[in-house]
Amino acid sequence: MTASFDEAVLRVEDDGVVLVGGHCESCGRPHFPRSGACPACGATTTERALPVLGIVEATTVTSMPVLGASPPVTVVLVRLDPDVAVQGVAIGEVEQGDSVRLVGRVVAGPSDDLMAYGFERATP
Amino acid sequence: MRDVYVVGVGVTPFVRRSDRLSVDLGADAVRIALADGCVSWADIELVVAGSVGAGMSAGSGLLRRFQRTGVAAINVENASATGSTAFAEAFHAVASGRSDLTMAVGFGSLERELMGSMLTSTAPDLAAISGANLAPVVFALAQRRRSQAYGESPDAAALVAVKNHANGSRNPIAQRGRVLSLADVAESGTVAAPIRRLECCPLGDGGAAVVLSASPPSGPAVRVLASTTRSDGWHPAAGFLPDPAVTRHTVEAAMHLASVRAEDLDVVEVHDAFAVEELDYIEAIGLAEPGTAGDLVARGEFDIGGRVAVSPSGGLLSRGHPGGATGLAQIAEIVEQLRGAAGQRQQPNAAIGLAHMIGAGGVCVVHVLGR
Repeated sequence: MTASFDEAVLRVEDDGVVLVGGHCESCGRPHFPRSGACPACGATTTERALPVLGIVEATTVTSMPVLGASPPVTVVLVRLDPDVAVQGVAIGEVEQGDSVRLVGRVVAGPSDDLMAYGFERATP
Repeated sequence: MRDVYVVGVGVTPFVRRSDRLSVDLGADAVRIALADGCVSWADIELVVAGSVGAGMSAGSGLLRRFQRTGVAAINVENASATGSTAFAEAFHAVASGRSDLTMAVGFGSLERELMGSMLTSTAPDLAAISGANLAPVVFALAQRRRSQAYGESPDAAALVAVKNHANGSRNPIAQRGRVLSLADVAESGTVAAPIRRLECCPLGDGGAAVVLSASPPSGPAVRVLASTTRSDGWHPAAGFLPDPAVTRHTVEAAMHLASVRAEDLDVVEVHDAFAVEELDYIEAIGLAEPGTAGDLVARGEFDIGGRVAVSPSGGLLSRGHPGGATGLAQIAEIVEQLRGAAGQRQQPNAAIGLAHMIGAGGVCVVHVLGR
């Protein structure tokens, strides 16, 4: 199994990848990436995986390379929760308003390949 | 808190690349500012040096270009807001009584800083994986959200680039000082859709310096009415995008301190690293209702001679954005405007000005000046 590029951000599981968010024990709000103190109220947080399905809020196609992807690269901002939007590389055709799914994406690390993430259109 | 006056300003030409060291460009700016303010180097009690990409304690290198007076010195770095932060620290030193005469100087190339971090970066991080390390991508997503919210055409941002280059064409220190048409912008190549190359500021090199004093100058006096700094608050996309509310919060605090309202402003310089940003900041400052800045730019309300001159220097888009010098070049522009000495760029009867910078990370620094 390919190792995560950062275990504190992305966990590689048997059936796919999940983003590691934080959940506030006081105000109940999620956030990403996880912080020891809730960014909204400052209380203690616990680890909680983010949903893997979301809606694309915005897209751009860039002529600049993004790690592990050659231009033109589509980058999307995906709402995974009312309180969390995550930016990432789109795999395949993705448009604003689409339902998308978090998927693994292999990138070159300093020595070995590493597992990162991207978003692909969810099967209707 | 004492009154604080800007008594001298100096800016070198901003250029794509210089065959001289950045610290020498900073020293040039110091000499121009000293001459402008009729101030002797020996009388400076504190130097606040803002530098990016110029190495550790770069301000000490600058001091070696001058008489060794033993002057107190502080080095600051705050990404794009480095020069603004040097000015803020210099202001507070004079206002608090720590120093009667302070030099704020900015130099160093943001491009060199960015190249350095890329060359030394080893393991991929969240920013590199997501494209959040690419500023045009981040602001392209912000522009898309803006157009979805307001139905705004890409021409709205393009018109900001056209306006600011028209202003910069009148500024002898501008790095990209040529007049542009909408077609020039549209045909300049897409960097991150919908952002085109000429809607992105150029990086480069240059120096800027400002002398702050507890005593008014003999000529036209420009006083610092407020200095405020805030950092990003929490928002759902905070892992990737700048806080869309940080400018409004920082400006509101500055306006309160200065006892001025948005309608009192005559000249404004903002962090227009990408043209779309200027639309957001015009609205956050209170010069336009949300979603209307594009229409008002098209009507000429923010031209030199319009209701408020926004980016009369040419802004980051045309004058340039070396990094360390940028925020101090904004201050220099506003001081020249308030002195009535801005020549072809003069906003008639300019009395109150506001300077705004954003630094990656993120911070916001706002100053209000008045005559």
